[in-house]
Amino acid sequence: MEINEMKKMTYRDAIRLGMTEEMRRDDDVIFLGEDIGLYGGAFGLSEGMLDEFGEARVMDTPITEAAIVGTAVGAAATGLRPVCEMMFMDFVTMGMDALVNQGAKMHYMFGGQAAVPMVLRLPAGSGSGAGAQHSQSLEAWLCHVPGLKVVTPSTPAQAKGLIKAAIRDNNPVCFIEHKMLYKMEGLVPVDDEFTIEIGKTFIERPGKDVTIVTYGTLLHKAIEAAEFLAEEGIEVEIINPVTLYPMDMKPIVESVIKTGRLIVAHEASKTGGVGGEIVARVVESEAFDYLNAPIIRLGGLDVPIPYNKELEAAVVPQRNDFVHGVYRLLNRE
Amino acid sequence: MEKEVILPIEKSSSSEIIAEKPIEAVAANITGEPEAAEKSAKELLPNPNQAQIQDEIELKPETDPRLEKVRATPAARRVAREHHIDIQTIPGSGPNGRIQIEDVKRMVVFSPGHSGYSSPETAVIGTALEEIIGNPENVFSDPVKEEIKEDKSEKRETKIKKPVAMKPAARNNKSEMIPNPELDFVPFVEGEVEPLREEIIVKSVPLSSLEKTSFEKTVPEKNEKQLENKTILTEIRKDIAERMVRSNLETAVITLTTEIDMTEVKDLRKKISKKIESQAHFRCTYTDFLLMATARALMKQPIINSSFENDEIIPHAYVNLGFAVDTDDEMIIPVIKNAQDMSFVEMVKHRGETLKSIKNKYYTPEDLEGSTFTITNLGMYGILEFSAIINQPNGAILSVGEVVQRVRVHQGEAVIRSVMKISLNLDRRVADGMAGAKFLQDVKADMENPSLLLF
Repeated sequence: MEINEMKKMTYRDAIRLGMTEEMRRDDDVIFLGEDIGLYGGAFGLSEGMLDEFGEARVMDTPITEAAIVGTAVGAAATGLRPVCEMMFMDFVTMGMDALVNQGAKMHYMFGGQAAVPMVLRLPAGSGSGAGAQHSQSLEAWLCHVPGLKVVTPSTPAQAKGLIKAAIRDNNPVCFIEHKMLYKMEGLVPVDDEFTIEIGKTFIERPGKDVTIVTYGTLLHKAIEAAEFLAEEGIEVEIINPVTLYPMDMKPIVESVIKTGRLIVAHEASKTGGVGGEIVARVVESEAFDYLNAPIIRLGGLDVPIPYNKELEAAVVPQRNDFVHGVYRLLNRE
Repeated sequence: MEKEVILPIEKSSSSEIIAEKPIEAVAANITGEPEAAEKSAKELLPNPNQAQIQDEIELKPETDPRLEKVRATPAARRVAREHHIDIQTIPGSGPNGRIQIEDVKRMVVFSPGHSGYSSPETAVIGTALEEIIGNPENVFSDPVKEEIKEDKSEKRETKIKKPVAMKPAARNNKSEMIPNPELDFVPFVEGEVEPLREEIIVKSVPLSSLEKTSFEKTVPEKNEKQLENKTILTEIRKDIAERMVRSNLETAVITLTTEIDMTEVKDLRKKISKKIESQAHFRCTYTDFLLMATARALMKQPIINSSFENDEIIPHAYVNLGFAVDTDDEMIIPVIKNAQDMSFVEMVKHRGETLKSIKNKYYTPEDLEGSTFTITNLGMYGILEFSAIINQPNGAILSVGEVVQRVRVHQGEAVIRSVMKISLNLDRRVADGMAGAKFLQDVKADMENPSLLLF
């Protein structure tokens, strides 16, 4: 893969660019969701797509997520490659039956004769003061269903590469995008064949003292913490799994063997979160014998996300939680 | 429930009774009858069951499951296990006295040179080398003591030393400077170059050494066979044994030996080491030069690079270099594929990555297949030259000896040069001695003008 030319753009624009490129490349790709056409999307993500591709391929749907997901599963099974958008990830509950009991199972139950190449775009996460029903991170639910792939990009480049890979993938892929990253800017490869392999873990920052595994907005908080800690001579290795299911554990295990200390962090509630799964796999692996401190999980508190912005920030891990976590692992507090 | 309710009442009443008879108890002690005091106390409790419960309650704090258990991290336990250190004897520096890997490392005295060290834990060696400077608590043992292999219990004692602060002068400065032969492909690595992790663990081993392998490491189950003093071979060992014997029987081997002047390689490596490391992310070793020279010589003498299968000689247009690597469990031969096209940096990278994957056990059977030529090295054990068994279906194998300093005539003068002996074991059915000699000549020429290998 050649990555020659890079262009600075936002995370939101990178997702749109990825989708647009795929829709130009493949006539089978369609896009459906609430207010994505005329209005340009609740977050302005799909602005201009209706004009380019027309109503047949960019479809405004009624306000019923069950219908959106159900339509997408059916369309995918019969040969199209639908991308559908939930306005907020929280509303995936309405489409759960079509997704879990139909979309995720068809390929298996029809003996491989059917494929469901659909993408479900799920804006997730807190930080926007949108209240308890519009701020959740429900990735652990989706990871629990064999047959679904779950990916979550944390930078604009990853967003473009992954949405393209997700559309080209022949399985139902849940594409979880963090609302607070929409305005984040970064360099994105212009190459329209640039994709990021699903199932590949990225090392975002090399280090030797403590391993932090995280994704989404917390990745950027962890990087801030790592920069802060670097001034004290503590080298933190930051790993971004990118694909939450099926997760590539090799770099994580290797990193823990190197550092002996692990912090796993996510915004989603700690209980039953993906972090617990990562920790369990590390402990099951060769890395167990290299652990030199108890593993720390940083997760959201087990409460609904509050509306008040101060409270909202208090229930999810912040930069200082990473710093204190690292101190604790190194016996500095 | 009932008993628990009753107990406090009984307790208070019994203490009243004791208070009434203090003189008797004291008197019993004075008269030299210690039992009497206990007896009288026991008699005071009317119900023997109650006494039992009382005892149990008093014992309770001692039966705390946390007691007598060591708090230690998995990493600390592993290193302690590998070095036969009793973890109970180690003072822990973590929270609540938790023993951490650093605490165990402080107890490990690792001397360069001889040691039965086989752990992938490189930090131990790394610690000894890097932390020794400025850390008076880090003590190197006398290497001579370590070499004596007596029974393990005694050895353990010599290994475990309490971290007593020593004056810097008391440290064995000399042994700190002795490079560790396990750290690199050849023994005399300069001390200032810090070893890469994989190079510490993975040592190459010649195929021939397997002949003499006693399979003591495979622990036999206690059964009749053990009584007969036989050792059960694992499947892998059996397989290797069969292959070795077959190879020895089937091939008609001739051995050609030559000496290579390594001084140039040594100098060049020193110069380019940093630069190569920045490009390849692995430090270059003498192995890399030899792999490069071999790959090129094989392209010039393709007959050496051929397979002998089913009475057919198949010369290859590509070079897949196998190099023997000793791991904890077995000896394996990973293969560097298409070595003929590689630049020096690529070679360093490939070798480094291959060793890393072997070390981490992230390799597939495909990584071990398809070699067209094999290199094996015993130099790090001080072997000057040897002859290995051909890794069939290869037509030849190169055995590499130690790099040593010898007086040689160089440009008309007697000077000290670093030299190394290599032996080519060639299947005479595949090629004749002339081809083998030409091959060795090419290798020698490249190794003695190593800068050409960089291009």
